[in-house]
Amino acid sequence: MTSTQAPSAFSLEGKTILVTGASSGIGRATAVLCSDMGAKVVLTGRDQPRLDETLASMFGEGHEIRVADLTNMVARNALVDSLPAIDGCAFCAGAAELVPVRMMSERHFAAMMDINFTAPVMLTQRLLYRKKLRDHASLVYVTAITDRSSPVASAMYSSAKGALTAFSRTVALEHAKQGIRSNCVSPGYVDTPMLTKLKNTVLAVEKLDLTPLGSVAASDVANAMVYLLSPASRWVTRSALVIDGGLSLPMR
Amino acid sequence: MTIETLRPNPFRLDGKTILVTGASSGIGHAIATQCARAGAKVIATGRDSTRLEAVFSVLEGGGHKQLIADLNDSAQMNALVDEVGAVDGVVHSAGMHGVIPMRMANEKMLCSVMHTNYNVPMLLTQRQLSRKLLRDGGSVLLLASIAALTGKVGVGPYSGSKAALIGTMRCLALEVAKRGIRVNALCPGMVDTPLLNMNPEWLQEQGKNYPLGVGMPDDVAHAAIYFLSDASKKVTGTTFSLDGGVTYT
Repeated sequence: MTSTQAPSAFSLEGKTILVTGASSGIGRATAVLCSDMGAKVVLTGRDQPRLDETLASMFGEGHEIRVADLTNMVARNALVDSLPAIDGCAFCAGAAELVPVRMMSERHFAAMMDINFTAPVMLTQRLLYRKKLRDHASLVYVTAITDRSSPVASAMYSSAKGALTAFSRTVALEHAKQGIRSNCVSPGYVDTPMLTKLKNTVLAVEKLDLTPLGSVAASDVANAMVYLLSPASRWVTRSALVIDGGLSLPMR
Repeated sequence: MTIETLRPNPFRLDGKTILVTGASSGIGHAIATQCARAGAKVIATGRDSTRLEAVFSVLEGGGHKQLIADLNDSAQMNALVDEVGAVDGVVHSAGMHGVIPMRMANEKMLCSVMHTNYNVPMLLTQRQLSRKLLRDGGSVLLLASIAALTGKVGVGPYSGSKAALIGTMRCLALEVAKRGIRVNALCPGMVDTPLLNMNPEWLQEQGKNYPLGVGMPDDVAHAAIYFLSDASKKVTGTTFSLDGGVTYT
């Protein structure tokens, strides 16, 4: 590489960042880039071997793995209670299952809400309640453009992401006095293990080829996460950054 | 601080040439300064040679240029585009205020606001595209405004001109995507710039509506670096709000 001089505003030196869903996809890419930018990262996810793989590709020292299922209240609270004070959290854990409304079960409803909405919301609540967020901390939630595009068979996934978007905007207001910021990164289709799984089930693959700038990588989303975690976005809160290669442009 | 890593820092602008309009003042000044700090070759343009020289003379790094031009004059604008040559990014930060109740607006004023805030950035981009002076993978960044998204008494002409940018941006983004060029719009709330800080007490009073206070020019400049750098290579057609979390303007 030619230059190693980071503009200080994008640096995460001296910061501790919690990354959920750090075992794959957007969470893994975010954890790795946070480490490149100088952060100490606490990686959480359910799968120890895959968290180890993420850690192996990270830069620097002092990162920690905390295995936890964030949909489990006891595990979630134990995770928060064990944390040091943090300067940011990247809420990357999520899952999508595609089911048409008339075929929806309560199990599907609960599964989509638990991982995509309840877990990040109650994790935020606990972080605030236990005063684990330092002043000027940044909360960044991975949502999805489906919160607006609402394609077929995505009702519960889209609803959960839409609810999470609304939630993040209230958090931003309630904690601005501490300089705490809350924003969303809203991707279109991203080339991750989650998408591969969807492609193998019902997703119309031809839709992906409609993305004007071509396929979006997890690292493209991670770049936005790090911008929003860093002091470069000091004045950005209650906002959302769409990363979809232009997919949603013709959408009403 | 130096980060010893094998992976490149995605927020750098090394090797990129960036044209910044309105570089002699306020947000444009901050964008030119921060782009240079991030490693870009900056071409700074503005109308006021004294103020532009003051910005230009302290840009970090080398290979920058300053070009005086009044972009409202189409001959000067065309000459500027041709002299600038190929670029990897352009930031349209030149703009003017347009605040008047609509019942008192007139054709001359509307035309002037629309020309400076809408026609000029669109025509400049048009000429760069038709002359193939925007490189593949380049980035066009428009300075829209929170005024394009919210209603506020008396801000009609300005709001309209900024909303027009967003409308065209979406179409333009689709037209240039095949070359990997992206087009995005920043929507800042109130920033402490000469456009607004002539009355500091009024600005501070307005700032009380902003949960994080009024913005600083560097806040917009840092967003610009994200949108100009390869960090945002898959981001196009977006309207990005940066406004300290303001709920009502």
